[in-house]
Amino acid sequence: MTAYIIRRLLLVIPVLLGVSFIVFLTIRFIPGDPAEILLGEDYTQEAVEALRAEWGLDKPLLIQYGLFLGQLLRGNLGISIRSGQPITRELAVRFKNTLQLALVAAALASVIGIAAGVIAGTRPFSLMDMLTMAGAVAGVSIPVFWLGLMLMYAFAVKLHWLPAVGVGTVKHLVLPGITLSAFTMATIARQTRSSVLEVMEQDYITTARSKGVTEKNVLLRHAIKNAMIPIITVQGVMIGRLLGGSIITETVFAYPGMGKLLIDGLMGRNYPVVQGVILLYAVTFSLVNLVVDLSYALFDPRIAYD
Amino acid sequence: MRKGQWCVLVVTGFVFLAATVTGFGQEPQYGGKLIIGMGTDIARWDIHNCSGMQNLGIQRLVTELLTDHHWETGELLPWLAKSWEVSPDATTWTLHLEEGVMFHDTTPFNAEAVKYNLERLLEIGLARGSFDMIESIEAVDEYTVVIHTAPFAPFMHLLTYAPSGMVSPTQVEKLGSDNYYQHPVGTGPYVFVEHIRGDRSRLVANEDYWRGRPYLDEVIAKPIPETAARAAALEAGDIHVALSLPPIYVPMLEANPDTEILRAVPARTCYVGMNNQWGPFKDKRVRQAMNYAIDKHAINESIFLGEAVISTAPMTTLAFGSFPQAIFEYDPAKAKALLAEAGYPDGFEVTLTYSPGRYLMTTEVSEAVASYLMDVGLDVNLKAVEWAAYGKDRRKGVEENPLQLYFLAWGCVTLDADHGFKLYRPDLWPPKSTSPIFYSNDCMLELFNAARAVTDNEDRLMYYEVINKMVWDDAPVIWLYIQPNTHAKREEAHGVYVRSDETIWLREAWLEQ
Repeated sequence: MTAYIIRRLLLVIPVLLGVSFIVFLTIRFIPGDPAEILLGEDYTQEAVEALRAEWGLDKPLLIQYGLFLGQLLRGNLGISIRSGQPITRELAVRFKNTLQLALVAAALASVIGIAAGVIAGTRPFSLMDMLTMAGAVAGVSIPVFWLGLMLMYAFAVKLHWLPAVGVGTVKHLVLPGITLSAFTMATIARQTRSSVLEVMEQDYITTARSKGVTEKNVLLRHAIKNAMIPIITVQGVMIGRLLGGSIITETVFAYPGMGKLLIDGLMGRNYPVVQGVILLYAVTFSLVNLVVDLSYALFDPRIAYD
Repeated sequence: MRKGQWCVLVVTGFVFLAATVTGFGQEPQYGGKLIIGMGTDIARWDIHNCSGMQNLGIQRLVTELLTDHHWETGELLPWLAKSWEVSPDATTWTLHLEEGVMFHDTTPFNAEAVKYNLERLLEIGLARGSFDMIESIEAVDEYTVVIHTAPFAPFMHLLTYAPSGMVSPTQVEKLGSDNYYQHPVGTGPYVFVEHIRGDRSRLVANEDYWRGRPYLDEVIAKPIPETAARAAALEAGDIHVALSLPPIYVPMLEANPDTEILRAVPARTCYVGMNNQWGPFKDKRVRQAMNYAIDKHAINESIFLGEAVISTAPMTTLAFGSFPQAIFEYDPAKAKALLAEAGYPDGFEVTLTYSPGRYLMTTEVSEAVASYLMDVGLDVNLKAVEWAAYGKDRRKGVEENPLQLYFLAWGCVTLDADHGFKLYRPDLWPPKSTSPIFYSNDCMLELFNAARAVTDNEDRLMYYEVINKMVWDDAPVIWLYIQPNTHAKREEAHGVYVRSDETIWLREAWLEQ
């Protein structure tokens, strides 16, 4: 098992190299010049050229990439074109914020989604089932943007229970967390429902019932573990979606996270920021995938890694 | 009661009344923490290197300038420079500085500091291109500075442009020029405490401010990019001031008794530029026809709820040297006639490029303009481009420039015609600038340069009057409107004003407690 983990971790390196190279090239080929954007109305040709030289953008592409890798190996992600701040510092705060938000959304989505899915799956075609699935359809269809603003309007402006924007306390995580979790919660509920339905049809469940196991234990001790396997896959993908998809939620709630940093960086052609953020996403995804794969072994004893 | 007692009663009554009326919060109170919601975060707390006008109002609470504009009249005011003289050829400027002013770190503000700052601006400032007429700076004595420039009459107006702010030389030396942004030190009414990127900037009152301690104890500036969220935060009371709100929020916030709309005289001229060297646009009649074809009043009423100001001159009428002209009233028949006269009775095909979201209601206005042009026979293709890519196209020289009609805006930051006419300068065609109007007029250029070299304001006005009329008549662009400049605040925040350059004036702000 340990050997497997080490091998997987080592495989992350070529993935990061590939990702960083592709991002590096792509962003430089998109039309638009960071120096010119930064200067705005103060544009002069000399100023643009001076800035580009300062940022090393006048060197050949491969040299630029080489320099970038060199810096990376020393743990330096470069300096943001817009703010002059080291990227690692900007990323650290933003990553923490987005991670908190994503975890809250993931927890809400998992707990409520799975619970709803199980309730619906164990009472198919009942009223509870219909209601839960209607809720799931709503969760998948409602635009994140609208949901966020409606929640803000109800709970912050009208009721004054929660703050409208910003970050800092647990209260600030509630509305953005709910907003971000909606889509995933609905997906998990539906997936859980079908998974539970499928498992409950299995012969071994009938056997358990015949043995006299209570319905509650049938569910919790026999069915759940098998039903969870597809759910775990969904959750793995979910973390990815939540980390990347938090952009809209972050914008609506003025929540200073990575999504907003990436979008602003892209708009301003802030090469170091875009490279840094995407690299961080790549690392996170790789690690999350590893954890998801390993957790299969927990749920299904037939799976073993060596 | 006896007469005497009545008198006492009446007088006491009046005294009480007077006391309650004045006590009803009209007397500025000290203390409080004002929270401002802005559209974008402050990119860099280094005034020589900050870009974008949006947050300069906040930065200028910490860092001040040599001159300033009055927030309402746009009049040029002395500030850190209390008076000045200029040589008749507009090349030598002698500034007398305020005495006894100190930076927040107790470094004295003096001529040496001014020299240091201007030299830093010219060396590493992002906007140094706009100050390239400065040739040298001399600190003659402790409070007198002499600046030598190429002939440039509007120099004192240019010094109101934020990149020429005065920062503490000690702080720059201490942190290093590249890291100065981490803790800026100026002479302003508020002292910088911290900037948590993406979350807030925090300032506290400068107890020793040279114009008297400001009323507020603290000012917090938070970026809230989404306009709906910004308006919601204002209504919820999470912030006291919301900057830059589009006109759709005006009715809602005016109806709310706790909030109030702040309007400033706007200064950002929005227009549809024409590539004057492309096909039909070489002909003045075609360009004028384009102006007659658009119903600007209808655009203002329906898209901006009447909050915009129709352009009556190439730049805002607040600017020195701006003269209002007769607008091209909506007249599609006249437009068609002019087009026919110029040889285009059936119109022609043209592309209208715009960058959604860059300015207020860009998409809606572009679509409206396209539709008016189609009414007079043109075949218009609308093309939406991303801002960065747009910039690349705008910069291309006349041979390669693909732009024909394009939606843009120009803010006259120095409130001086010299800056206002920059767009039209025949000697600043791209790639020297990002304004592909490609206007060609030797006479205008001569008059423009003459106006620059003349220091007598009356003489300058004379030149600008002619230039205004000439440029307006030539119709190098389709003039539309000046973008509304609306902000909002809560009732308990007083003394909050908005300037025409979209920055906020908070020096006299106070909070009702």
